[in-house]
Amino acid sequence: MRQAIILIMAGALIGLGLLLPPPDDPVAPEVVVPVYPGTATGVAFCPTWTTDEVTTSVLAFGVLDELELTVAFHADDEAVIVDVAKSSIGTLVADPGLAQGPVPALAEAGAGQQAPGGVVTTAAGVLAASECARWPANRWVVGVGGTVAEETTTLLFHNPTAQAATVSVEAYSEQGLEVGEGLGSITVPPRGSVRRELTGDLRLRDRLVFLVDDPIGAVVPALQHTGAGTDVAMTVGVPESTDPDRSEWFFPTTGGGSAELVLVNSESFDVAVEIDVFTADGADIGAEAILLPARTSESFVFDGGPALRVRADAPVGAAVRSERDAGLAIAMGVPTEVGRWVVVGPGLDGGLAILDILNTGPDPVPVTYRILGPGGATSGRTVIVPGSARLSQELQIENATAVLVEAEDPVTVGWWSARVGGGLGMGQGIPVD
Amino acid sequence: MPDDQASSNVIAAVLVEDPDRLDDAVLMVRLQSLEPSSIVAVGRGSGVREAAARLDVGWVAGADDLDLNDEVTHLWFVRDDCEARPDALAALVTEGDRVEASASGSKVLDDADRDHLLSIGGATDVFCTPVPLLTEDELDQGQYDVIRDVAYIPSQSVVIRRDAFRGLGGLDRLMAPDAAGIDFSQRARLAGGRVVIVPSSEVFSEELYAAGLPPWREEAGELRAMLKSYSWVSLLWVLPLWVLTEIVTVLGWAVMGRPRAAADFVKSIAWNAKHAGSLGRERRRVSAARQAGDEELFRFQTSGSHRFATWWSALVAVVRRPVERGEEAIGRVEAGGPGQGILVWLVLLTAWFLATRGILATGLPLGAWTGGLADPGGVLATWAGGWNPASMGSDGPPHPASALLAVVGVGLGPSAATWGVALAVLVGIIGAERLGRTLGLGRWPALAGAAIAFLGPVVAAAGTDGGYQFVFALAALPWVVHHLDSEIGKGWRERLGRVSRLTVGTAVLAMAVPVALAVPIAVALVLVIIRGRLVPLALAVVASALAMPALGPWLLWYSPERLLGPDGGFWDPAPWIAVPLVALGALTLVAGERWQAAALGAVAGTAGFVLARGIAPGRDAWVLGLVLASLGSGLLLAGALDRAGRPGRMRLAGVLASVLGLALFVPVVLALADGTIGIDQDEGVAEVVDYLAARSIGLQERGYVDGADHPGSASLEGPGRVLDAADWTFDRAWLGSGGSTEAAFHAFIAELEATPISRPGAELREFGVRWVHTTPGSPLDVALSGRLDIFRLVTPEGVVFETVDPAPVAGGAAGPWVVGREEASGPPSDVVAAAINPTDRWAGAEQENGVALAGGAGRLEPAADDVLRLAALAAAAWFAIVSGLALWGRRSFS
Repeated sequence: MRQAIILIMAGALIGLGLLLPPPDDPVAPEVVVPVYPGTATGVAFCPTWTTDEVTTSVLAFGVLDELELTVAFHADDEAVIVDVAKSSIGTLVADPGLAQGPVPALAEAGAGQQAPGGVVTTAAGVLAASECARWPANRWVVGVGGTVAEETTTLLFHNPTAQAATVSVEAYSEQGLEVGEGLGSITVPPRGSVRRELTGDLRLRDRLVFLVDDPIGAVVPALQHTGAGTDVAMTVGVPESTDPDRSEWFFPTTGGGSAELVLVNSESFDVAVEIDVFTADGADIGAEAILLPARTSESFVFDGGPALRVRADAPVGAAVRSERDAGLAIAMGVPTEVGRWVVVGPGLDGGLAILDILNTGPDPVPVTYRILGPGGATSGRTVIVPGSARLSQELQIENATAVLVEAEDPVTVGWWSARVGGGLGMGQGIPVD
Repeated sequence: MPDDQASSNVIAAVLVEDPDRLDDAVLMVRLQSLEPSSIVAVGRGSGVREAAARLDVGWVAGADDLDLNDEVTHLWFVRDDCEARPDALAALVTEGDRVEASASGSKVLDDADRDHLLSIGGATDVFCTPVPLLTEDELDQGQYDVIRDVAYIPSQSVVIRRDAFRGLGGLDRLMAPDAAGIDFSQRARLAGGRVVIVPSSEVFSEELYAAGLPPWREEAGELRAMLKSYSWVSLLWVLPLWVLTEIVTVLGWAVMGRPRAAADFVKSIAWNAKHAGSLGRERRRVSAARQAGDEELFRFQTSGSHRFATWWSALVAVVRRPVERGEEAIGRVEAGGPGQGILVWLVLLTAWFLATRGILATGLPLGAWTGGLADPGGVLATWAGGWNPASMGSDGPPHPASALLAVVGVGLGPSAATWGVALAVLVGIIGAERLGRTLGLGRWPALAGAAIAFLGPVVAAAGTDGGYQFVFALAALPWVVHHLDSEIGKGWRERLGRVSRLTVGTAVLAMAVPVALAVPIAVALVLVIIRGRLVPLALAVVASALAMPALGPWLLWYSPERLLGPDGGFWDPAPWIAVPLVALGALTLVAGERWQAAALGAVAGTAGFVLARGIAPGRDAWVLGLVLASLGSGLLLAGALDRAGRPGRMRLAGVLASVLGLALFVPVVLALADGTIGIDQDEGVAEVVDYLAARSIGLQERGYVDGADHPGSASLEGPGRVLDAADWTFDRAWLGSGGSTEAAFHAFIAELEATPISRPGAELREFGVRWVHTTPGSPLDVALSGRLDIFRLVTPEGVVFETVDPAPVAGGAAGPWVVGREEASGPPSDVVAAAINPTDRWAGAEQENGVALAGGAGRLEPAADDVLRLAALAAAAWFAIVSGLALWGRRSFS
């Protein structure tokens, strides 16, 4: 009898224990690498700043209300720190007074401030513009370069952190994926930079777009490209993508001339890609629709410098190379549409600049833009951007360095400028809060 | 000559194996009082034939060749190696005819010692293997002198009626003699005949079984007997069972060094396959004569397999031999006076040393709950109302287990953690062994149970997460149960001592795991069922009440929710642990004569199972569950082993329980091998702790373990854990009561993951956090990677970030400060910013992310809580008094 009681007790306890569910497995947090984790980033990575006897670079920032900047120019063995500040809307220029060639810069704004910045480089027959990157990433895309005939392409890696970093680079040309000599593993010293001019087995390539793997996310890549003429084109890389299921790139400007859009599929499978073309007259949705083979690149040439939108059902890289008589320009796309932009660069060369505003939505969007300069901002001018169209505005400005663009609905913004004496500059806007 | 004898015409068939023995055999036959009508030598070979001719007796090669004319009434088969009394044949014929037996056999006595029985026939098992009824060297005292039906009769001397012999087709000439006898007996009974042993017919023989043929021939014959006699339905279940049993048995023999059994098994099958052609004819003959079903055969069969049982007995004998020797030695030692149980102690101490040698050398493997105890005095000061530095500091006392370990540490110094654990294991094993004996178990089963409790699978499952709490509670619990189940004693002094010892044990148990205060009462309730006495319950209530003050400050400070401890684990034992334990419990409870130990073990183990699976919230309940499960498993095994060595009902169940129990010794062997009672290091925590120690530059800086999925964070308290010092000490395992600085820090981490910033290192330094441990790809990894003021390092266990600049917990204009358990000090500064939780202990103004201390003097001391201090002192005094009473009340002191 007693054994029976014990057996029943034990059996009941075992049964009860088996009914108790195990604790829920901890749900692995979804990891999203922030591309634009909020537009209010207070950091700007500007790897393309370079100045010597014949070349001048201007590192400029749009100031929305007030801005205190600490800019570190990472020279070879030292960092030149420049503190600049402005307490009202306008622009700020950081000048270290150096004349020693390429010196990447890191700008940090005060708490809660935004630092939309860009670099405009000029010389005789040269105009190059590039934005400052606003956030580190683990995988970058940068292009378009080329090494045909007299063309040169140089990769620049800037490590603004206190820790050495190692990156690896994949090159995509018209021949598909290529591993360039010396690109497999590049160590970038802390708060320093490394330049790699493409030679050897990557010579004689018509188009080159690069995927840069940066495990730590510390290095910002940039690309410098020269064509047959005197002009130089520069751009800073952008994160390839954060969404494994799709990819979207906007090119509100393509330089006003013949534009070559280069797409790269670094995945191991084919990716469906659709290219939409926007002009002042309207949109050609699905102007190009292709299945981009795995580990290849494709290029598409569009005359007249239309605005472009690239949509894909997997991450793809996209970059634009524009050529006019004036020169050569390259630019990366922007991955998002927002309602407030700062465009850094127009007017620094003292000439005509074109502000391109792309509205991919079906409805017209009122857009107001203000010219920002060292002395302040002009009053706003409002234009209506038709639905599914790109609107271009001529900006005849002197010594202005930025344009603040505010739209009631999300748009994308870019600019380009062609110098009379030679030189083509092109850049995209920087989203701000 | 009686009439029935006179009418008998018997042919004596001498089964010849050795022609040289035929002379004596023929003479023995001729001397029978009932003289056979003819004598025939049965055997192959010219030697037999020539010897028969010389002696003028007939000769045939096989029994089937005998000339059985109508005048013959009986055949007497007698082996040439035995000697029959002169009246043996007459008795067989007379008594056999009287009971109308088809076959009757003689009682066989040992020729070398004629008072000893060799065979009186017997039963077979279901596989037709003879099962002797006699014990070894059993004397013939007439105890079997009655004509009995048997399954088989020994082959030495058998009388078969001619009609039965002829009707049944005679003996199977293919079979060995004994198997042939079994076969004939079975066929006779199926045909409605009787097979009896006639004890008044006595023969003497040197060997029970016929010599000359290899043993496997008998086995092969037994298989053939099955195949011939059993119905198809019976064969359907008997044959698979036979195959399985034989395989287990031959493997068992092989393990024990007798691989020949396997060869015999194969030969037996091959032999039957070779002679399968005649089986059909034989089965048809049996079928034609069949008058009864297989039940007639089963009537004289025993359950189980005799061959398996023989092997098992041999195994038990081998296993028990050292034990028996040990018990004999113990008996001798005990009989000799002092030094009781030296052998048991020797084994116990050896096992203890082997199992804890790694701990003695380097301490308990490092984990979240097995940190060192560098400053036991400081821990006691914290316990008594001082500043608790865990994480970012708080006023609440550390867990009582810290105080318990610190008390040990005061006596043993810095090695307290090491020796505390090792001694706890020793004390616990002794206690478990003592408990087993209290429950009526033998010494060795009790010791085996203690080994399972302290070195078994549950200990390994508890791992470093069980920590000191598990070990101390497991050490105390057997003593508590032992004192509950023991006699309360005679006289008030002895009784007071008993209650005091029970109280001390309960207090230690409760300090290790406070919720265990209820355990004595629960155990007592089970004992009430088992023993039918209420005394244990009364004792338990008193002891639990008296033990409560030991928790002093802990009870006064924390809410009931907090008293249960942080989140616990979930014990999901592997089937190879759970199944043997459940089977062990059920079998021992059902089959055991000493079932009380198994009963207590079953209830404790299953209750522990439920607790360890999180039926009650909190880590302490989880630890207690594992403690109960561990001791329960030990008691179950001890009960089973104790049962296995004793004869009695349901022996097979007991044996099976023991076999299952032996599986649990695998982790014991592993525990003895690794020297750390089966507990492995928590690599995740060890990596964090080692990193902190290795990177420390003498400043007081903190590390943070990301709670998302870092391997170390699973066992650390908190969703993400701040480690406040480079040396990980046990008392810091509990977070304490927290505060606003800590809350701000966790809010900062959450915000950082949502919105990364460029210089997170500067923010981390605000909290005195220099290192962040996380895993690749985690949100925190993304938020910190590639930032401007923090390094990233990939380690085997994850990713570590380190701020570029040092991150002292506290500091003023003149330099960094150290905020210790008993003081804060550093270069004098008017204002010292300390990243600690604002509390009553430090007279500082609360500020963002910490406290502003007045550091002009360069040194500050935290204030103590007088109420907590008083509670701690009272608990210590009370504990000392009860311990004194426990000693004073011992019988040996009386």
